[in-house]
Amino acid sequence: MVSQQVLTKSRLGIEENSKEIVMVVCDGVSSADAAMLANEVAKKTVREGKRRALIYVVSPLGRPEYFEVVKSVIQENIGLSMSIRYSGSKPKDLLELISRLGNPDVVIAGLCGDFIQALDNAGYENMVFIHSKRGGDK
Amino acid sequence: MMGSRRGFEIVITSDRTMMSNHHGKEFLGFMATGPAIGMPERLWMWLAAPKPKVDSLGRPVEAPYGLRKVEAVLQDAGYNAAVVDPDHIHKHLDTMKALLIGHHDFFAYGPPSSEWWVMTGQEPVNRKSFRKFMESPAVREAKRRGVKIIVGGPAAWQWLWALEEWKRWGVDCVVDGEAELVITDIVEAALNNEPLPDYVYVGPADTPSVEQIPVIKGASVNGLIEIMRGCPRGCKFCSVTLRPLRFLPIDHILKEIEVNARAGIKNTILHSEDVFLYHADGVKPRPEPLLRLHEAVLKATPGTISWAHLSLAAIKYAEEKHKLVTKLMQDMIIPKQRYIGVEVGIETGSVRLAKIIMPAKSAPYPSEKWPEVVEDAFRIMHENYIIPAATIILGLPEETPDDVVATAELLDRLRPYRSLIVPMFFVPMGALKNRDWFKKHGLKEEHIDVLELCLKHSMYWVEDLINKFYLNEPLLMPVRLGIKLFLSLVRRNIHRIRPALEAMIAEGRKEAEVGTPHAVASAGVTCGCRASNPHQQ
Repeated sequence: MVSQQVLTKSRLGIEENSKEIVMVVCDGVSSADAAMLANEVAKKTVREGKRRALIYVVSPLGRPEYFEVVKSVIQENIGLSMSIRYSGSKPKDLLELISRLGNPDVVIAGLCGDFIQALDNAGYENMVFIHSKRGGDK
Repeated sequence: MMGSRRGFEIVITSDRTMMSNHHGKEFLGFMATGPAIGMPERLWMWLAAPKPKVDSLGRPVEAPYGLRKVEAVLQDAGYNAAVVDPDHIHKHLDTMKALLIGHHDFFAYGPPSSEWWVMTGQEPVNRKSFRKFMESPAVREAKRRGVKIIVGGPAAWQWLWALEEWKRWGVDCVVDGEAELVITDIVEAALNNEPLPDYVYVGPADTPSVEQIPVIKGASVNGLIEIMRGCPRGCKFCSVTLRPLRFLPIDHILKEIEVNARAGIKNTILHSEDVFLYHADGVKPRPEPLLRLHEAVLKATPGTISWAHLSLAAIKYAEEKHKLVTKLMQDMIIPKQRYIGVEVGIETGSVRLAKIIMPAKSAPYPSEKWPEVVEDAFRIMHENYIIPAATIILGLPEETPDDVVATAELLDRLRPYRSLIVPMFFVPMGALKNRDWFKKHGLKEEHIDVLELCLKHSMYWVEDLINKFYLNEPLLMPVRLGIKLFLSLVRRNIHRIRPALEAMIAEGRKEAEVGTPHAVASAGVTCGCRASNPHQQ
């Protein structure tokens, strides 16, 4: 069973007034892609004038294995506070999460065909792809 | 203290290599970063990290400073929390809901552990000790009972390279950065059984102000207390420069000395990345605040004082501009003690490399003068009985063989000055944390020259230090004998080191040809930034 880390009661202080980003991380992310992932988080957070990022990760790689990719986000970061929460491994976890958060920015990295398909089916558009093929790839 | 008779809800701890006073000799703590050499591991561990005195609840008299800060924050917030020795956490299994574990070097990936690991091919004892602790019956039982495991401290980043252990040991949350403003929230969520984030990185916006940094409640190891946080020099290999610069007021410092003195800790180690920059004018030391600080600290400290770190440029400037080193040492410190120990960073003898990776390290002098700054500062320290343990970093990004030769030439010129010089391999930290580790196949002939020069320099001076200054107390005679045994072993085998390293180069070339996946996690790694004392934040 995958433990999810979406807060049910209250947020940590360090998560208040933060930029919320949903990150979908799958196999096939190169180190260059990982660096772009980090860049995407910084760009989205700074653009909104925030100094904190709350990152929800949905990944079939599992917990904490997803850090093989996501550690680059921490390594490349200097100026932001970050809280990283694991939020499941399946497309349905992703759909539940974006429904709960309400149109969050979604960044997708790697071979995430099932997730992209699910978002497409749901008509979700607020997403960025980092070398991810849209639709059908596995 | 709330609930202390029953046990603690929040237990703060570390493994044995951290939870020790190292016989009252901070420098001996560095032995815990290496493998046992030439003697049984139990003897090595006793030399490096003897068990501290504890009370009936397992609370140690002295504990690492970072753990003491977390304890103070939680106790001030009303939590039933305490630092407990790792051998005694079983006493709190019935009450414990969160286990907070701090460390300077969980997996021996930091400097200088990783270097000893590479050079000897054996796991350092700090890594083994931490693993033994995490796999101890008490920690496993705590996990089985649903206790949340929260890890942090200066080595928090290492968990990103230890995902297997993270999973196997069931770590719930990693806290990376200054914890004062985040730890109560995280603990509260843990106590309420709410989901915790996997990783929290504390950025500059969430670091505490001076007023938000609490006074420790229990004594720190060997009386270490901080006088400031952050550093304005901006060296790219160092994580401390990412933090804002803050000076603790003298009142705060004296309160912590009092806490230590009440627990029978007679000595004080002033912790800062650069003690001479206490209330400085940028990077220019000012006499008035430094003299005032030392006057107050020396008066309040029953025993001796030492400095955690100084920068070489600050030493040169302070002496040449204000005769400040002479004033501090000859007028204030030497009347009370024979010498003072400190860590300093040379890092490189190359002007070219210094300009790239540490352009402000020589300030207020230009980078072109860096080798001269180093040499002058060593002379000033030698004349004033300041005994430095200096670091050199090998394998920095953009390093060329000529840079390493420049370092070797500088080392030759430092030979007359009483000091220990410790070479380390580059570890990606600070603004360079996204760069690659120094790997075994990066080792070159020029590096061996530097390693050999450092060893010969340190072996030459360590004899002098032990005979004249160090471990002279009658109670420490067994420790002195153990150290002498180790040194004689190194001396007898010194001729074998070069061929062994040359063989390593050849082996590294072969590995590089066939490729070495997972180089960091396997022992064939790594690395180094400036060494920090095991108890500094």
